[in-house]
Amino acid sequence: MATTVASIYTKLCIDLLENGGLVLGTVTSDQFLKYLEEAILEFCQEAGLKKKIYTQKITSGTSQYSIPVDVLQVQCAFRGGKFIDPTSLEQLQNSEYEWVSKTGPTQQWFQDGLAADMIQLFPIPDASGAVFSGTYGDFLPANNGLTVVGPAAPTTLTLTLLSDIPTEIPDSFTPYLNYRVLYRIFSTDGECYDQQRAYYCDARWQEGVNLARSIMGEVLQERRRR
Amino acid sequence: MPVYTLGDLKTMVYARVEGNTQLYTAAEVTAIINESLQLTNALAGFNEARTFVSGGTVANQLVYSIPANILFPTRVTFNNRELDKIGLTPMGESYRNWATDTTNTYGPVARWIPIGLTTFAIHPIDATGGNTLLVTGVSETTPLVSDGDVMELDDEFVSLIVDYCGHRVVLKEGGKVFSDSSILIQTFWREIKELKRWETWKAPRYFVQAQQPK
Repeated sequence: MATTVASIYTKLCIDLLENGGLVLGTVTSDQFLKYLEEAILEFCQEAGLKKKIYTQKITSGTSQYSIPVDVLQVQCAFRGGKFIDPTSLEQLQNSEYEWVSKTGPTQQWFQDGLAADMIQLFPIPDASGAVFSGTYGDFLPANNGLTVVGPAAPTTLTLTLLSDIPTEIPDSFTPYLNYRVLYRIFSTDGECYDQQRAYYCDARWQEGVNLARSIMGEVLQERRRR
Repeated sequence: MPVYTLGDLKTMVYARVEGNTQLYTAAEVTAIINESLQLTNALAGFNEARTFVSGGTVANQLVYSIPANILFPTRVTFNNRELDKIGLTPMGESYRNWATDTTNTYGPVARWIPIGLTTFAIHPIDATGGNTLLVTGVSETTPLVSDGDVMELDDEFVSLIVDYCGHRVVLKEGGKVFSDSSILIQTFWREIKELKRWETWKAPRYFVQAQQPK
């Protein structure tokens, strides 16, 4: 059963002592929806509980590939099912002579210096993989393509009070969205400003993000390496 | 396992707030109890479920879906033999050919790799298929609506849940009442940590600002 935006709204109204709905004008419904949309996107990015696997074909001589918008960021990449290491522009410039023109079997990937939805492989692939359409949900090692794994973007980010919370946020984690919205309200200059409650709500949000990362098991390890 | 109704839990929560049903309505206490059940379950995992992957293994299939009733998987067994859990990155780093290794070339299935909450991979890939995959994990709690709705809970979780609700309901009051009460979240986190469900889970930092004497 999906959690509804209305249920989060009702709880927020109680916490702001406006049980019948936001009518006092200190916080509006539109502000609430904006904060909630941002919280959903942040949680998907930081927690990455639901992931997408996307595999696309590789063309010899082409080093840059686009990532679909429903993959929020690349956490791991694979070529033909084999893990390729993440690197950075700085590392390449400091350690690889003429890396820009080097060709060979794919060893590393990076995203800095590129548009947010692009990934670059190093060295430039010297062999094409099988020809196929981009596919979700499998690594397809036999096709020798490029697979990226990353947190799934929320299916919808335009909410109304009648919407459901996107399924990328499991029901058990939806209370943390409430704390993120409350944090925004309590930490913004205005009638509702309350530093103590802002600290509390921020700590509760961190509790949820840390829990999600622990569940994923490996994410902390990935962060350390970056 | 002891069974508690929503009515029982509400009575215990109201006992923490001096039975004030005017300030804390039944609807809001019910909402906080359900929040507490959801979060305590996610943090401590008291609501376990075990479900077979429908149809078992498929020959040469790497990625499987986690059964829908599992919120997050904690264990996977292959023909009643428990598999080791390993993250996707360490897997890729340690076993370069992990996506193509099969039971014909690499021995029996020994590992499972969670990929988010909805999918997992096995290593090596089962080359024959037709074997069982049993996923154990934590499932979502069912929201309690009527006072007669029941939930099976160990006593240790009941006290956690009631303590949580006792401090959470006063969030709306703010000021010193909330400030004094909010410090109980640290006790909640400490008790959760002692349960050691998630070894790597870190309780956030939260302090209450001391009031300056007048």
